[in-house]
Order: sequence, then C-alpha cells, then structure tokens
Amino acid sequence: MTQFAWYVFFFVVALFIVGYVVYAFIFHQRLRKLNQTYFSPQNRHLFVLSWVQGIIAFLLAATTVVFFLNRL
Amino acid sequence: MLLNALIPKPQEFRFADQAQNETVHLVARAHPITQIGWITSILFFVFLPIVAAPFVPSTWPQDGVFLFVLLWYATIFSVSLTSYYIWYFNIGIVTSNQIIDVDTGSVLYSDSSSTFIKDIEEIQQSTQGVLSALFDYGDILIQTAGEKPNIEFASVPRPSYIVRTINEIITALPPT
Repeated sequence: MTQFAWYVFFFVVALFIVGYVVYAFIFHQRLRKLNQTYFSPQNRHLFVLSWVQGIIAFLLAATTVVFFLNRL
Repeated sequence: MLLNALIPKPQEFRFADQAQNETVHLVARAHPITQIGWITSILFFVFLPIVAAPFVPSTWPQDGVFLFVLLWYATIFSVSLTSYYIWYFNIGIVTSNQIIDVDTGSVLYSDSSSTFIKDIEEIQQSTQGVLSALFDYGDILIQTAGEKPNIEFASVPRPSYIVRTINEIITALPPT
C-alpha cells in the first residue's frame, strides 16, 4: 500500500470511530432515560454493557492512533 | 435473569407515572425464542472472520487486517447490544389500574400507550405456528372502548396466564 492509501484507510477508520463514539454516547443517554421511566434493578446489566461499549470505543481510538503513528 | 420474559409481581420494578397505591402485577416481553433470527445472524458474523482467516493473503499488512477485525467485532458487539436493548425495552406492564405497552423500535425511538383496566372491553389471545405451540407464547390484543388505543402484547410467554391475571384484576374492580 502506498502512503496515500494508508492515509485514506486511517481517515475512513477515524470517521468510523467518531461515529462509534457518538453512538455509544447516545446509547448511554437513552438507556439512562429509559431507566428513569421504567426502573428495575435488572437494568444494571445493560449499563455494564453500555460501559463496555464505551471502553471498546476508547480501545479502538487508541489502537488506531498507535498504528497511525507507526505508519507516519 | 437477563432473559426473563415474564416477571409476575416484580418487587422492585417502578415506572415514572406510577400512582402511590398502584401495584405492578406483571411485566412481559417477547419470548426469547422469537429473537433467534438476529442471534443466529450475529453468530454467523462472529465466526465469519475465523473461517475467512486462512484465505487472507499473507502480503496484506498485518496492522491493517488487525484494525479491520477489531472494527468488525466492535460493530457486532454494538449491533447485538442494540438488538438486545430493543427486545428488553419492548415491554407490557399490567398494574392494578392500567395496562401499558412500551414499544421500542431503535435506540432513538420509543413510545408507550396505556389504557385503564376499567376501559377494557375485550381481550383476545392468539397463538400461531409450531414454535409458539412448543414454547407456549402468543399475542394478546386488549381492545378498549371508543377512541382509546388498543394494546397489543406481541409473542409474550404464557398468554393464558397473562389473560387470566388481567381478568382477575377486572373482576376485583369495585362495581361502578
């Protein structure tokens, strides 16, 4: 792959990750709202999964930055 | 239980408009077996990269392939979580005063309709297909008087039990 192709690849990946982070945030906000409307202690497991989604978003972003810096 | 689809007399369940003297008799959501479609699709996409791995050319850059696989599984996780969330928040609630139907279509869309027990005119129960007979689930349509919205619980487990519970609440109502 040429250097330009790598830039394009990382740009697409960065766009995807931005979308993923925004989605994870919206998901968490909506979950909080529905938890207020229909509260049950069982809802806690969904909050855990929502935080896992946030951690995945962070790991994706961190991995992409490391790989991008290695390719510079 | 994470896959509990029928919760009779939930002790700690509350909803926003609940009156002080109102008790929740049951909470129902679709039978887990009705979710088998998206679960099967997710399993297919989980195993796809594992099956495809031997066919990836060795000339492809390792970091690019690794990043792609990471994005792939992150997407699968989010799609699964969203599908589970949609199932989890599609609930029917039967209380001592009213029946509430919460419809969640996506992360951004959710609406609810409710009717008072005293306004119920007819309750229809239907089961269709082999799976519904095997796993004892079905639809319940609660028809109300006049312009008020009808309530539908789709593919809920033990529909006879739910109808019986609603009928018992109606019978216990003081005569008007």
